[in-house]
Formats: sequence, structure tokens, C-alpha cells
Amino acid sequence: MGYTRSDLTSFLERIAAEPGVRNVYVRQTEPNGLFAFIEVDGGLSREAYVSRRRLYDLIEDEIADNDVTSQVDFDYTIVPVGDDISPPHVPADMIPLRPGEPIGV
Amino acid sequence: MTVVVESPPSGNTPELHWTKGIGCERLGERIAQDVERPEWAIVLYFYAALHYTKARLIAEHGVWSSRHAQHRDSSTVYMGHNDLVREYLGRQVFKPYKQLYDLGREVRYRFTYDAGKVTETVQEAYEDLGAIRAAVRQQGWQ
Repeated sequence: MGYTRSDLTSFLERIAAEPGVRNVYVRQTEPNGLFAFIEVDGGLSREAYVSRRRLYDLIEDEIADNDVTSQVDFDYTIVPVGDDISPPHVPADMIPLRPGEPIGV
Repeated sequence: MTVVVESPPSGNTPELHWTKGIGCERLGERIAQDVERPEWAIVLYFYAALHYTKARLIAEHGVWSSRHAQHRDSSTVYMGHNDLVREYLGRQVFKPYKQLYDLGREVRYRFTYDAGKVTETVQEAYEDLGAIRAAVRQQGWQ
């Protein structure tokens, strides 16, 4: 059994627990994928940009190390959130990722 | 499911995309000096990165996509430019490229903010573009 949507969900739960990550929303995509909308605190400062860069590192390393995208349909976006910018518009069809709760049921 | 990688249409040469990339970068540098809306430089930096990576993908791999993201119909998956960058140019190019892609889209469609901190982000984006340009440049290009 290769990398599954369940594995991806577990990984995104770990991302949700990373410092500076405010919320992770997900949408199921067919046949077995996920799209993740990741809100990161800190706005437009240099520190926030560098913090987001670390998240790209974590996610792309997970994808490469596990050959994720050949096994599940996965895409994501990382969105800055902060007092210096307007609130993000979370797509209406996305649901908050809640650790321990299965999605899509 | 069949995965399709498109070939570049006629006229889409590496040199053309490289020149377009330089034009976007130069315009971005000018916009970055704007005191009211410097964030639009990030959009130009993203499009510069798009053209630089297209140049390398065409020159070295002969691949191309008309869309940013993957798209599919009932039986076929068409790789988007993002997929091609990740697949053919590797993580060290894709990571800064994806950050510019995400942030550029935010600037185009969402940002309304107090411009106090944005110059720091514009500078970080410029440095990411420089890393991409250095990684994909080939001899003989400008």
C-alpha cells in the first residue's frame, strides 16, 4: 500500500501544528486527492516570509520523499494572514482540518 | 488515466521566454520603488519566474503547458506548468517558484492592507526570483 489520502491528512495535521500556522482547510478532490488552504500568521514581514519558506520546505520534502503526487492528487496554497493585510477569503467549499477527525464523512 | 505533457507551440522559443522574463523583472524592479503600491512588483517577479522556467523547460526538456495547474478530463491528466517545474527542475527551483506563485496570486486578487511591511516581502520575493534565475539560466541567454 502506497501513500494514501489518509497519510496526507495525517501530514497536514502535523503542518497545522507547526508554529505560525493559523488554520488549515481542505477540500477533497477526485479520485483520491486533497487541496489544502493553509493560513499562516505574520502578515507581510520578512520574518513571516521566511517562516512560510520553511513550510514550503516541509511540504515539498514530504512530496518528494514519499513520491506523493504520483499516488494522490495533491495541491496546496499558503496564504499570509496578519493585521497588515485583509482577511483571506477561504473558498466556500473548504472545511477546517480538525486533528483526529476523518474528513469527507 | 493517461498523463499528458504538452510540447511547446511554434514560436515559443527559450530565447523568447528568457527575454520576456528579463522584461518582467526590470519592470518589477521599477514598481518595487513605488511608494504606494510596491506589492505589484511581486506579480512581475512571479511572471519573470514563469518565463525563466519556461525557457529552461523548453530548452532542456521540450515540455510546455498553457496552464499553471494540472487539469483533467474523464481519461486524461494534463500537467500544468507548476507540475513541470516540480518534476523537471527539482525542489530547489520549485519551492521559491511556488512561493512566488502563491504570493503573486494573493497580490492580484486579495491584498488590501497598510503598506508598512510590504517592502520586506517584496525584497524577499526578489531574492527568490534571483535564485530561480541563477538556477535555470543557460549559456547564450542574455
